[in-house]
Amino acid sequence: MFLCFCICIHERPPAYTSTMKILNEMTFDFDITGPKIIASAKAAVIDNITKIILIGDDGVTVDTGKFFVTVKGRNFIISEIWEGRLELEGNIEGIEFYQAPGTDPH
Amino acid sequence: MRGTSRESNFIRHRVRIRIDGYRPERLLSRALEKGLACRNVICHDETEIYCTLSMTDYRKLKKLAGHGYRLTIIKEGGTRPGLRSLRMNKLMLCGMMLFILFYLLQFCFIREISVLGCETIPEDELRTILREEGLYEGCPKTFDCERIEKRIFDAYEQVVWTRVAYQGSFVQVEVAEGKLQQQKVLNREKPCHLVAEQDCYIETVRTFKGRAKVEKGDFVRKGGILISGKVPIEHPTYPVDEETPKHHYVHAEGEVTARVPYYYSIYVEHSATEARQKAEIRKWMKKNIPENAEILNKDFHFEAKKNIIKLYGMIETRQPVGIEKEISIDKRQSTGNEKNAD
Repeated sequence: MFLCFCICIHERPPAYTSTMKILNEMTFDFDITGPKIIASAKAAVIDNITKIILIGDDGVTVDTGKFFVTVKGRNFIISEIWEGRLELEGNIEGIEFYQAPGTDPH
Repeated sequence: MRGTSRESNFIRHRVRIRIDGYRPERLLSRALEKGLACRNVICHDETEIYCTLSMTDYRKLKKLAGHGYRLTIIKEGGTRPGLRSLRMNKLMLCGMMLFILFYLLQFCFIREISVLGCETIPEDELRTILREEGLYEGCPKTFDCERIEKRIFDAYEQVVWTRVAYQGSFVQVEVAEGKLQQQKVLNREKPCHLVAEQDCYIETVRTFKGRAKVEKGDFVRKGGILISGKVPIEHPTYPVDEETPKHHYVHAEGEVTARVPYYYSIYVEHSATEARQKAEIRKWMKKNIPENAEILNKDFHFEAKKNIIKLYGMIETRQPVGIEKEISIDKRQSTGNEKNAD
């Protein structure tokens, strides 16, 4: 089974996201400020990263400006890092977001 | 544009490096800021990671690393190092060149000759003719296909169609044989009948010698007598004995024209085009229908089966019919009963 999901963290209120219109979707697609993750059980792509915080065998943490994103799992290989995009391969077990210190997402 | 350049950089020259130092991810972050592409990053431990970069990016990363990190090239790849190693290994280069040369040379010679369609012609004999014309396994491609075809035609009377064609180093010789014309009875004094060589409907009968047994519109089966060589003696003006034969034998002669139906059934490959199907029918006609036949009707059907197409139908011709069939007379019998020699 190939389960793929995309998470977009943005500045809009949650009420807007539930009834997402095409215009809003396009706005989110072209948003280059927030983190974007496309993930499946074996691979993940994180967009708009600014810094790599930590690379370990059981997880990769990156900074996207407003949030830190941690992808947890095993046997990670970063297949490519280039132009704000990080492509990750391995067994993904979880994804965490937390606010970067000293930033306010809203 | 930039993506293409990055990819071509990797193809041209890439290096697998080991980065040693305190928190190597910081160096990767700096590389990310500068737009350097890193691939296959594997974390070995907290102070050691492995990654692949293009040679141009590696030089930039080395400047970024300064004295804080140690960069070691483990492996090189890409076209440039490959060519360099080839240049170093001249013997292998010569070997490869020789291999390519041999590979290309084999296309200049004939590897295999396939002969198809030989029924009465011995294949060895045909191959001897081909060899005489310079076509044999291992020969260069200097032979003339048309000349070989002509030679085959000249050598065998029964050949009605032939084709010599090659594709790459494979030659195919196809031969279609017709029926040899039966030798006519040379002795024109010997009594004989004129019989039908095929089932036919009679159109005209002109008898020169003998007695016509058929008339316009009659259907005659193969072997049926058209003009009989046994002529009865009618109303003699002189007295005859009972023992005297009441007929005499002649060499039957005449011209008989008839409508002859030909039924054909040919199988062709499923992928065969319409032109190929027509060519197959023409080939069949050339093989089975005499040249002097006038085609009256043509009937064409095709039936697509699983992997094959069946072409079938009927062709009606108007053509002269009749072949001579000798009459052997048993002279011991007083009444002159004849026995046909089959």
